Amino acid sequence: MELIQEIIIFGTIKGCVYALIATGFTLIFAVAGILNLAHGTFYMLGAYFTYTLFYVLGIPLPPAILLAAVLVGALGMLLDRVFLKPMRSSHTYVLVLTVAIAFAAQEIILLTYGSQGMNIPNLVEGSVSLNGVVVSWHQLLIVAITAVVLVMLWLVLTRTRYGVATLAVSMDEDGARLVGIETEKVFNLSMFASAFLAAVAGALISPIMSMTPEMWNMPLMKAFVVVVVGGIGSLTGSIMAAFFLGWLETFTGFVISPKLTEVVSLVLLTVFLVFRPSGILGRRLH
Amino acid sequence: MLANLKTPAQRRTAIFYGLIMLGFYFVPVFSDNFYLLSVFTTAYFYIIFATSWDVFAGYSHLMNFGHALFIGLAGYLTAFVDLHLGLPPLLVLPMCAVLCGLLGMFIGYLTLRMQGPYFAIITMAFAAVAYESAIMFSEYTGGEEGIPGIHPLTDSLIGDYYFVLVIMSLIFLFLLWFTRGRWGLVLKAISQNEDSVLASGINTAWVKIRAYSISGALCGIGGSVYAYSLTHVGPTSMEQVLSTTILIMAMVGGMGTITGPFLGALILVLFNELSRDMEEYRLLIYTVMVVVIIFFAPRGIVSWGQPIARAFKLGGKRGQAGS
Repeated sequence: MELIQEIIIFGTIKGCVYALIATGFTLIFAVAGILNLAHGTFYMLGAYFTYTLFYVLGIPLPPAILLAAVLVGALGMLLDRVFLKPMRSSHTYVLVLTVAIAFAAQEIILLTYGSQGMNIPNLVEGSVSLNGVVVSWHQLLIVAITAVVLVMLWLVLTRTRYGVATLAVSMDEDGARLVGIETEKVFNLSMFASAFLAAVAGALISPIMSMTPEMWNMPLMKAFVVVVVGGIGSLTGSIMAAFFLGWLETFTGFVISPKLTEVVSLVLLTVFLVFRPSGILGRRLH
Repeated sequence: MLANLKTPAQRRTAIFYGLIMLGFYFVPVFSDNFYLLSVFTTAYFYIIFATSWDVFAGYSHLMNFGHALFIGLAGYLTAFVDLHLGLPPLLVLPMCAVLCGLLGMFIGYLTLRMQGPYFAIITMAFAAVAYESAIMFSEYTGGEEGIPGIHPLTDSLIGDYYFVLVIMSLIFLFLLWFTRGRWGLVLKAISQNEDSVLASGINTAWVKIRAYSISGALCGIGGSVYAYSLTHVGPTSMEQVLSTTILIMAMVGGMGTITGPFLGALILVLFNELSRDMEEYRLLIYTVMVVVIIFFAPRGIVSWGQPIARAFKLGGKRGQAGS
């Protein structure tokens, strides 16, 4: 019984982080058709910026995380405006350029901060026992923050003019432009939201996992898996798939072998791509 | 290929690459410096990997993010055959080519329906699965350490150098012949508009599968020679970084030209070695340079050939450098 509880609790925490990473990834793909291989870089920068703001500039942790995420969001907009705008329609160009940027960012971080792992402190110290399962307050806070952020994202997308415009652009870019939507603005704001979400995830995870210049790899691979399993372009699907992956990985780690946790996502990805490329809730992609 | 040397620009291109190739054969005459020869050998490996990547991905614009899968697979096969059966390299190379070709055919068949980003993700996933299994099944693959002690190709460094160079030249010539003919044309047409190629009675699926299979087979030969040359194979030979490096080299040189990836691989490997003095800034400069080149010349450095030739008043205006 306790095992099941543990799997559900720790899988949910994992799923929250995956959901934060993957919603941004899928948002920018659905809206602008950009498969952003620098998405993991936003996650990494979120962690490192928070570290700098907190330790070097002495800003308290919660505003430091928010500020870091806003900065990373602005960087995302810059990336989109400067590098991706001229060739947005070419998948080839976008893929190769974003992966090259990810490598360049890794080198910059390596030179600035060095290769040793670093951590920031928990948002809240201490832990609590949930029915016998010991969970730290920070981990519970991750769940709460994810819930708030995702609900806000949902509200923005369904209840505001920006959200409706975003939906319109993701359905038909030309049609949206015809009815007077400024697609460039929508692309920019989506890129901001996408980078913001990834940065929040990076900042929240760095008290638990050390930050290193290579940390952008893992979230990128997980984002792929979540997005493919959930269906490319479907936000709801991504969130469902994120939790599914979180639970499945925790289950594998606890029940079968911790060595296999990293393989689970790859196997899931391959199976879905080969047998059901449109994912759980996805539509067919052109 | 000779039929393609009609215009002055094409003849000029042929002379240009012919001279580079000839130069390669004379490097050991001038110097038998161990470091110099091994740098060039590394460049030849990357040329094999990048040009074999290009024959499928560059021409069809289906981004292959897992090309290193073939390198690793061929490397492990080479290690098994060499250490357990003791066959000579000239038998092992065709075996690797056949195995990787079949694997390419199989993956090509599975991924046939996929377009653009899907294809990129699945090739990445296959390579990652192979990488993880190489680490997991450590009783057969030696885990992270890999398998050491593969017999070297020849007794001397110069022998190795020429062996790799000859393999590279043969692959390069074959790819030029293959892509400058009907198949290259069909593949290019598919990347432009698959439906109209289908409508003209060509089985596009089969063309793509075959190109992917050839791409895998040639890379398998390269991977096998690579393992012989290092006398070692490990999971790093299937790493994501290696796959990405290969495709970045091809993109920097110019996708879908064969000559582009040739130049891209050569220039980037030489640059990487020449800039060793810059110590920790080396990789930063390297990666930033790659971003800048891709940003300013999405069609690669071969697209600069024509303006340069024009500046030096070589040949006619309609010349097409790099083709």
